[in-house]
Amino acid sequence: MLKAIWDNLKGLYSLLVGMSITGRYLLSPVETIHYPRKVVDDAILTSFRGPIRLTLGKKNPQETRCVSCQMCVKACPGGCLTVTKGDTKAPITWLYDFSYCCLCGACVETCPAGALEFSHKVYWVTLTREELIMDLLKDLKTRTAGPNPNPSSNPSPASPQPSSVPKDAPKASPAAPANPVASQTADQKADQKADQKAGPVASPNGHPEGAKAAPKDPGASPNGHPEGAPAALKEPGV
Amino acid sequence: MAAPEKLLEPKEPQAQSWVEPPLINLKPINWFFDVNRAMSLWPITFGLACCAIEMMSASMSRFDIARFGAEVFRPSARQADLMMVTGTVTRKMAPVVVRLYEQMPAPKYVMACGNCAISGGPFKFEGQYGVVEGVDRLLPVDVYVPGCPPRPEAILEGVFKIQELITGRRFWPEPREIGA
Amino acid sequence: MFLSLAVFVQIIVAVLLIIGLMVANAVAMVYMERKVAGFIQRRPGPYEVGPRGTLQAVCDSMKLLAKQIYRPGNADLILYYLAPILAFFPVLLLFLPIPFGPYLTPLPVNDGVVLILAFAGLGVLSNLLAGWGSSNKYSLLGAARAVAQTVAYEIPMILALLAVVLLSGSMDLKSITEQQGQWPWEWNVVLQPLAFFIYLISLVAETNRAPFDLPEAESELTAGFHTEYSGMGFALFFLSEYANMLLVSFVAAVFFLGGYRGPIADGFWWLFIKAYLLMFFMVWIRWTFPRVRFDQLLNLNWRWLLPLGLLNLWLTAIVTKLLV
Repeated sequence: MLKAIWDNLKGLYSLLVGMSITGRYLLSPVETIHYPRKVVDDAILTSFRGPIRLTLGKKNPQETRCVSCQMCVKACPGGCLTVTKGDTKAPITWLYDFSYCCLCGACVETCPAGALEFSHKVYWVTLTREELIMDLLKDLKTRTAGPNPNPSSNPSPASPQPSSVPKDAPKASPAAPANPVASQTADQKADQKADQKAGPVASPNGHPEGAKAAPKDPGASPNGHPEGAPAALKEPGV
Repeated sequence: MAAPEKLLEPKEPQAQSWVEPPLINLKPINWFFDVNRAMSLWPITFGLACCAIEMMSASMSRFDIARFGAEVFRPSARQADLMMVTGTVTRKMAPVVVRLYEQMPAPKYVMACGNCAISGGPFKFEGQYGVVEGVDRLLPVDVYVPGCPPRPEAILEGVFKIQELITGRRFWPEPREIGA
Repeated sequence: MFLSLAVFVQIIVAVLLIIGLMVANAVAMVYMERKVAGFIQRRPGPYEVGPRGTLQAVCDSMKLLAKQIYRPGNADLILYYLAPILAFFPVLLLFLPIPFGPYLTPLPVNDGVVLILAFAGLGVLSNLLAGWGSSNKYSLLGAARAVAQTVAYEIPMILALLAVVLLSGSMDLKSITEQQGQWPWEWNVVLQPLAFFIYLISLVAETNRAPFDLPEAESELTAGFHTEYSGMGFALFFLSEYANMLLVSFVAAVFFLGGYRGPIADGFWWLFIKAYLLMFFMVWIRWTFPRVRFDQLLNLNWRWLLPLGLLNLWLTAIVTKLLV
């Protein structure tokens, strides 16, 4: 009986200890990183594995180092990659479906030419599933072409969007209104810009009516396509 | 098909939902209620697999989803608005997912977090029988957050995207560039 | 007539003001709870909606207002819709005998204690109706637990309050307040610490707050007796839970902490300060302790609080009537 009382008193004391711990936390500063206004350290973000991208060529930065050996295609456990060889060693199609990727890095490690690396595309959010299929050759060209190349930028989604060309001023998009709140930074190559321009209206596509450009079918795929001859890459929105 | 053959054009999702317009359909009132709905999205505790850890991490101290009103994770589907499908949807779990979605009262929103919820992810291969290849075969999905798993900031961006779909504008500034 | 016109008007005005108080209290409490929960977990809580998150509760209530209303197919038609209303309105009645200030008692009756204790039981009725009327096994389990818990913990509450009544010699809340002094060492908590402690525990248990929140436990019962309520029904349960918390905090402040009496000037502000300090304490407890198992909860009541309450009452009676 007395032991029960003593145990209960000890229990009450432990309750007070617990409350003092939470009381101490109550008075200590918060450790939240207020996300859109502040971000975590770059050291963490640059070690984050985002979708893969092609590395720059050694001689010509606009050309890839890939030799279409298909080692990455075989190594990928999710079957995300499609590489088509052209007449020379260089690939003519390089498609990557990010929604099947598990970021294992098998492709990056296996590539004998060192043509692949991880990007750091951290804040990517899309409205459709088809936007996640990326054309990495086109992305390489857009990263390195033009007066302000930014080869370390993240790959942008390649499906027809009015503003997936980050170089041009986004005013070219006919019906997607400019984001009223976003502070338009000078460097427009970030992928999240491209996503925001997808149109704020609640339509699954978020595209203006006219911007359904021709499907990017630059070359003959392994199965053969009705389109036959490779069509020139068309800039969307043009 | 796992290996992409060509780039696909975005199309309408297969499952659709439709909500009746309200009886009093005036624009300012709709806008007022839309802003309130966007600022107080209550998620349902629906973590299925590893991406659920990222969802929990987004509701913890470092990246606090409570700042935007989405702190109250309700366990009951009747009191929730947002279903974050985080993780692999297996065949066994699929009827439960649909039942919970149907139990949520309108207006409701679905966010597919992680590659498994978007398309079956790395578990899709020829002849597999266990995994539903993408939760958008079962429910209409509003926002897709890719990654394996996505960072908690990406989940926050998904919530911002849903807020943008509801109200028509994004209220929070863009994050700064990585490395800038 | 039974009531003069002045008293009638006074009651009507008081009821309207109390409804306003309950709504304002719910808004303030939602904000306080989320912020305190946030700071205990070292995060800021609601921050972006309105300046420092102050409009968050308003957004929540507007959103709940605009949700779809439906009831499950098998749910009892009358009971399902009656339960939230029944949760909300009796609490109004309980606010009436409380002396808010020296001349601010909405309904000056001379047995306010009996009024409060008698009508506190109506709250459990609403839980039961919600649980039964939802035709959902989780709700029914939640309601059964709620009934057992609330009925059980009313008894130590009555015993603790009775000890104070014995001490003060009257059941009128105003005279209990008047008999306590201005300074904290003259309040009843000094004379009856055990009763205060028992009342604190019953307070947390009566309002189904953690660590005694089994009826609405999240990980066990998926929201317990209000599982099937969406939108406005849920908002009414929420509102009534916070109103109940405010009510029992007011009663604790009146009985043990000196009511509206305070060091510098007597007035209603002291009552509010004390009640909100007690509610802050309840929120603090919620985010500190894990949930108590159901048999531990009832054991606590029947094996510890009830004998202690009786002992306290007996000692008080002896000391007051025989020795003094």
